[in-house]
Amino acid sequence: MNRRTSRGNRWGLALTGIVLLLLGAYALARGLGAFGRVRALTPIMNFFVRSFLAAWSPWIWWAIALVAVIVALLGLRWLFVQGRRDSRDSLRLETGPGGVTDLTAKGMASAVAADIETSPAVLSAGADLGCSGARPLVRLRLVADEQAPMSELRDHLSGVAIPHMRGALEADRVPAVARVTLEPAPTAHRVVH
Amino acid sequence: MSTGAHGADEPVTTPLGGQTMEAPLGGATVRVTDRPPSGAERAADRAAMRAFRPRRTVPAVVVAALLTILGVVVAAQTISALAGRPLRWLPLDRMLIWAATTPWSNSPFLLGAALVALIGLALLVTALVPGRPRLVPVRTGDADLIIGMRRRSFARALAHAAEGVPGVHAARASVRGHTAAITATTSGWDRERFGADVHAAVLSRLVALSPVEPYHVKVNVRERK
Repeated sequence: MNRRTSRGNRWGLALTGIVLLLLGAYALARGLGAFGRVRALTPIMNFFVRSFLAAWSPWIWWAIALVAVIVALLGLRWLFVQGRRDSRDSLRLETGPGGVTDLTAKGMASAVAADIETSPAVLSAGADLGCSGARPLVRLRLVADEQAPMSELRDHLSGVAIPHMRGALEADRVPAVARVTLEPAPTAHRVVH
Repeated sequence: MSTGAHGADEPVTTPLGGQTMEAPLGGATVRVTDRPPSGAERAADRAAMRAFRPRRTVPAVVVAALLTILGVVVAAQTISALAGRPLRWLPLDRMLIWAATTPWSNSPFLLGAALVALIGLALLVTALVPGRPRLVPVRTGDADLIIGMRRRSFARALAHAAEGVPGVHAARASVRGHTAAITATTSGWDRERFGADVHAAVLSRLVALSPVEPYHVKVNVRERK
């Protein structure tokens, strides 16, 4: 899932929350007599509402149906974007006079992972390449030696792996997000003959 | 039997690989560096915290599914009625009669309205409160390099650091909020010394792991019978 989905979730929840809060608070206030005792005692669907519906029928029902269809479509879209990923199968490098270069993301990702695994602090690594807008980004899954200081991993990523990626992708910036699992380094077994 | 490690509240300063760790012995909050972070470092810290914030997928899926169902039901009912072949998924006639005869001050209706308002408030809070990061963000000083440690392995690394202290047989660690609680089982009798050693070992591992957020370390020493 990417950052846009996360932001969309917050907006969707906030808007739905505001609508429900306003509707509930209005009904509660009116029922408790905040707008006058007479209004609290009138039926929920009073004469004015009924005559309004009758006066605008059938157009009002078409309008209600249209709003319901829009709500259903928005709900469906909201559901589908939950699975949205920013990973790509291929990355297109800048178009120049020589043409366009397409990189296989999988090949590039395994090269990145192999590059990261050269650090003694890293026990294993996996990578996914994606795009944030037009900019490439890399997602890393690392298993790191829990004894190694995090500065060692950080220095290797920022001093070796990311500059290599920048060069390969011909990009000024390649943001990287690494999810690290810490594990004890496997103990070396000595075999004495 | 379980005891607090020590009672001293005097801050101690331990040089640690070019970094300085300041901590009162009894329960320390680790400050990873001895200087305040610069503007770029603060921006990098914020980016790391934001990257691992909860995505709110579960409430979003629930609300999106309910909205879809509501939209489909209302649209189907309305369009079928307009087409002259009404679907009878909902008892609309009875609902209309109920709404036409029930006043706004009706108690069950008020209860329902309060419930709707509360659900709305809960959704609003879910959307606005940032929530704890799912991973422990690491200080990198670079907003383009975001590193997060899995919480369980972070706690395990602290427990392993405690187990590295001579005389400690086993250790458990749990990280809740900004507190890392370590329970170490020892075979010795000198609780004070074990407590201080475990404390120092865990602090030095914490400094090496350099989390963005400060952590308070609490040590409990148990004696193995």
